[in-house]
Amino acid sequence: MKTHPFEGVLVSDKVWRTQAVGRSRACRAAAGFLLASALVLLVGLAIGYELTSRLDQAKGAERNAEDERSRLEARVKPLAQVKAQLAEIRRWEVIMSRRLPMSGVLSAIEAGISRELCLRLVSIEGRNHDRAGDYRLPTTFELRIEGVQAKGDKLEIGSFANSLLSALPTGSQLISIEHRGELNPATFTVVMSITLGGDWSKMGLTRIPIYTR
Amino acid sequence: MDLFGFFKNFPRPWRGGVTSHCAMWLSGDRHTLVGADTRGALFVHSADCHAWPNALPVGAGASRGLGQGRWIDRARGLIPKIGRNPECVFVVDSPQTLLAINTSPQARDAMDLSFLMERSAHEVLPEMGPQANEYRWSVLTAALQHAAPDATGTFILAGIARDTAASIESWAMTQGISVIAILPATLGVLAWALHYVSHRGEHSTVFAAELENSSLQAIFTNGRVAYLETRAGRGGVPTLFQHLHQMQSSEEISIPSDTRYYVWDRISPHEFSGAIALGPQQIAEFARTRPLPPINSVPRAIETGEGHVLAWLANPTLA
Repeated sequence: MKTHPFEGVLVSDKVWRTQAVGRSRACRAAAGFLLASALVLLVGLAIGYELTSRLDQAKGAERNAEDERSRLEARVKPLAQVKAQLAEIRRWEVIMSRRLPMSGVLSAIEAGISRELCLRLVSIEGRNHDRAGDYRLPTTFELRIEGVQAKGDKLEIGSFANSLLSALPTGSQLISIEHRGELNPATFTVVMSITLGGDWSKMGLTRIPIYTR
Repeated sequence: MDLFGFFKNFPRPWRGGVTSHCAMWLSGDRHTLVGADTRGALFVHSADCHAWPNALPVGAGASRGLGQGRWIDRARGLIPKIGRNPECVFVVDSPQTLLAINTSPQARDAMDLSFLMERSAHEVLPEMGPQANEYRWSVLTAALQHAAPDATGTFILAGIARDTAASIESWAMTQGISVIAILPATLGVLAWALHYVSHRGEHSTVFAAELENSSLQAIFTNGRVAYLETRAGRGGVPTLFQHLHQMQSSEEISIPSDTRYYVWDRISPHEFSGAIALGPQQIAEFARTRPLPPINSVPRAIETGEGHVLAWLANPTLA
């Protein structure tokens, strides 16, 4: 590169040196590099700022969620005892739902039996057990009624069995009626199957839950 | 109006491009600036600067009252694009500059001379007295190049008052301009003449120029300045010729018979719009109005097309 023949003539050293910094190709390249670096740094700072602000936002949201959770936990804490009681009730729920209202059954027997019949045995046994949680529970019960008949015939036993069956929940079945009239007094045995899935309301029991599998 | 206002009003050269080199002629209350772009396109603009709040305090000169905006191509004049940090050569036509040839016996070489000019300029230029120390000096060879430390022989001393130079530098820095050089106008014209006049295969050349605030006479021999004399103020050329004639008569100086004479009158960069110097008509006018002493040949015109002195100083590497 050609230079001016009078370069620096009558120019003070201080001014010349100051200008030389600006005129030098290396200095211009360095200035360009610095400018580019500054630009990259600026972009980096902008990106960093954006990332930091997003991180702060996420942390803020997390902190808010934590606060909300603490607040809710504080509100739920007094209900812990109720919750434990409810859990206990739920443990018994499956058992309670399969209970047989014995008093209702006995009341139905008492209501349907005639004067000529005298009961000797009433037994109820669980049948068709299945597993419900930690327990094995029956799904049906067998009702066995044995007794003696002072007078009358087999038809009266059948009438008694039918009246009893009509009082039992829907789905209950009469399995057998055995009548031994040759004995004196005559004896009888009635066997029924009581299904839990029926409706006990016919016995006036409205608060017994209907069992469902 | 400051420099940017000056630039804003610039006419534009014809080929476009960004100007990064310029030369500014500072003369009294009127400045002229010539810019050259990287492809050599030139623009010239001059303006009165007395209204500038930050006008340079460069001597006193008579304004010619010319209108602004004398440019090379009016028809294609456009606003130029000025490059950032333009490099400018300031040419100062002022009594506060000095150009001298020196053969001081105290100076064995350029380094000695530089040292002397820095420390005790009045010993090298006793005619200036202590005032010489108030100047800033540069030492050039007779070929008008930077003097190497071991250079010996004849040296050209260029000087400018420290205050003036400092004012120019300070002003240029406020305008965002790089100062390439601060030249006395006589040195600028001398360099231009050495470049365009003396390199024609002619053995010896006498060159005289009359500026607004100074006059100059030099003899070029083999592309070097062999003799140099300057005068402050206008109208010094006849006196310079008279002195030259006296020296020739007293055999202090020998001028070969085939020496060519070139006279450049009224160098005022506001008055020409490009590459002219002294035309035949101006030569005739000069000879008619200023009786010259008898010389060996008729002064010749410097042909047009030689290049504007400021344009050349702005970017001499394009020449």
